[in-house]
Amino acid sequence: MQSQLSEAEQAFADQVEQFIAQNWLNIAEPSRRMRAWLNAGDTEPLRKQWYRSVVEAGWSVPHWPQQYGGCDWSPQQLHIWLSACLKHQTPAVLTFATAHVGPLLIEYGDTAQLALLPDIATFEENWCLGWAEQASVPDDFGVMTRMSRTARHISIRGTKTRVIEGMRAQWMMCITRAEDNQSPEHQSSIILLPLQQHGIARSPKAALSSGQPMAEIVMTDALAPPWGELKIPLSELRKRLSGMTASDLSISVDGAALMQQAQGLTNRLHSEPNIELGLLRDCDELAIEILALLGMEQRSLTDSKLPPTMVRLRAQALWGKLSELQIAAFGYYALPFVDSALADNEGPVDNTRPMGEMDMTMVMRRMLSPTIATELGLDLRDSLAQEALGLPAQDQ
Amino acid sequence: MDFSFTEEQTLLQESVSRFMQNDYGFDARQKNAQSEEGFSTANWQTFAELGWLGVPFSEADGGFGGGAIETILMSEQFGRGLLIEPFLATVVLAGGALKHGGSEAQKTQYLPGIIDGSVHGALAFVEPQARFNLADITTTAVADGDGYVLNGYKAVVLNGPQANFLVVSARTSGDQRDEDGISLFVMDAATAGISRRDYPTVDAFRASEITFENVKVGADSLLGEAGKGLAILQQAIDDGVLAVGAEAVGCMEVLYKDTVEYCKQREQFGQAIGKFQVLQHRMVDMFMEHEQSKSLMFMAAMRMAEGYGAEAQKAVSAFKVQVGKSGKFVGQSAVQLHGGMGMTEELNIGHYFKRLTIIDTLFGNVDFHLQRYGTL
Repeated sequence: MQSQLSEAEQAFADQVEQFIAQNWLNIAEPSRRMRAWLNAGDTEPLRKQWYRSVVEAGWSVPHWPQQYGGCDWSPQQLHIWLSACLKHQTPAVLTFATAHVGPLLIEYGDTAQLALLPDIATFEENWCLGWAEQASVPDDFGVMTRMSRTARHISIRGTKTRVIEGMRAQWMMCITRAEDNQSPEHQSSIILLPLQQHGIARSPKAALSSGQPMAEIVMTDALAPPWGELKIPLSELRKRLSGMTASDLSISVDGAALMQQAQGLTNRLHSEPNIELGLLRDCDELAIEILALLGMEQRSLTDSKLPPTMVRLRAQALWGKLSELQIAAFGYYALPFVDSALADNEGPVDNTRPMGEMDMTMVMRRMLSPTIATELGLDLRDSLAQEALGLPAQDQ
Repeated sequence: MDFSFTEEQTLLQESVSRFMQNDYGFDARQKNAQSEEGFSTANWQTFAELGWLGVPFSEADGGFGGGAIETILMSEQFGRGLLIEPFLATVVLAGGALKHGGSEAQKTQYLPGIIDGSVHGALAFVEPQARFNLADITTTAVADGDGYVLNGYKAVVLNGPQANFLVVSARTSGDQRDEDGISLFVMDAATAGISRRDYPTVDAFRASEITFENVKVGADSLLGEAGKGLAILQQAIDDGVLAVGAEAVGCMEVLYKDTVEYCKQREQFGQAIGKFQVLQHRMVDMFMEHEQSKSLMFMAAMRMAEGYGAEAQKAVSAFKVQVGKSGKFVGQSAVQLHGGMGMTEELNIGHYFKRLTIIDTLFGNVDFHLQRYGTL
């Protein structure tokens, strides 16, 4: 056992830090980076510049098989890269498309569907998940969106709500049911639906976490290509998206970012003359919990008995705790709406802090961001109870 | 990071695990706890024969050259079986003080007996007024000719009743809470002037209140340098924190797993109570608390194995904080989810909870280690 990275891993970590410094940290002021990280519309060129550099480096989809653009990286290398991106608040490299759609297409897709991969790997096309619907219960049978087939295409009618990234996605992975009355377990179909067409109307739905709004998407005889059905059981898709599978990388990379935020907060509080001692103690307690999370992240890379979902669950809780401490630490300056402070481009509201240091936005976003599991109405604890502890399924 | 074990470490872990699973039943454990010694002397001899009592000591001292990693691997399994044999007191604490600060002569005198199971030790470091401050010492050791005379009082000396030798902290100079001026002495437990009052502890161990009244020891009794004993004591205590923390991790594993099994079997309202979402979530949280503690256990052990210093101390304190919090949650939850059964003597659940409660207090509780973590 050893607590440090091996020499080769450390060299890779240094390479990653250098790459991010060159292609993200040094190309814009912290406030612009923060706005880009938050998906603000006017920072699109900055985001694109970052994505271009990632693609050029060949690091956009390192977790995919090599023949589709992936890297021959170890789990530790993947963890180093993804953790560093989150820690430095780069535009996300693990999007719904790169994290979920790509791997599903690679595993279940036919030739026509595989042809979608290059645009995903280069961040040219964004994807969203169309599952939740108004007034539908969050199970597989509550989906009211209907699909019907003709010889030339698949037609879809229905409305999806709370669609993350829905306002700017070019494609949707859309959960539908067939028009005819088959038994529920045979009714669901997963359709790959292009969104830039006449049959699609989108309207924004503001999210608590700021940044890009979610979307309500109305599909009026929207057309998908005849090859647009992805042949994967809905239950398997649900499992994949809920983070119960070891292949889901997005759920175990928070530790480094959390620790950086927590240390920054603690250092700042130590210099405050009027700070409450209990707050410092709470910061120490949080730091210990983050240390445990870091250990869990590392263990989950090699220990299949440690479910990644648990790591994600812990990370969510710790972002929440950090948020509470941030708010307490800000004192009265917790009141201003941080986005507006950043957007007015006139410097921070709190003139005792440099621009970009006010990271409560990040904390709030991470804590409140509607995760895929939330959209699916899944509780990670339910999954853990049944998958990891072998407890019986609850009655519906 | 590398969380893998060497082949020898894996074999050791499997050996202890097998014994605790097959040969260390709960009923026998309870019976042994009621015996005169408070544990099984036969088990102790078996541990010696299996080489476990020599694991932490260097090969030069007759041991197996193990360290922090081996300590957690063994202690975690001990925790799963709720071990009452005094491995902690004799091997980790008293043996640890000798290992870190003993002279060759002292090691030669005591370590072979520890390793072959014929000798028991105890570390007498607690004083009633000190809470968890190792430096708060009123027991004095005054130079007298070519030796010392000790006067004072030590509280809750683990394994005091069985100890053949004692390692005692005493002040040779300075004020009551000075970090300098503390010395350690190793002496025969039957030395004239030592008197004991023995009692069982809540978690079925044995301990003593020990009075030192004009206890005369030779200069060769001094362990390490005069006045510089705190560093040795601190290191032995941190070894102890690591050991009891790992033991707590083992206890928590049993508690959450047994609770899950119980909830799968126990029926209420015509169905297994393990079907209820609120109980499922509680069990998931128990599982999660255990895994958090286990992660910090590995990190603390790795830091200790890489060298004892501020980083290692910080990691050990972080581990102890987590274990204290998690142990309380897992223990309370296990008792609650077992309902009335969890309150009974016959079921092991409550006994694990008692041990976890005591472990939180041993060598500093959550508050103490959180404070220590913040100042290191």
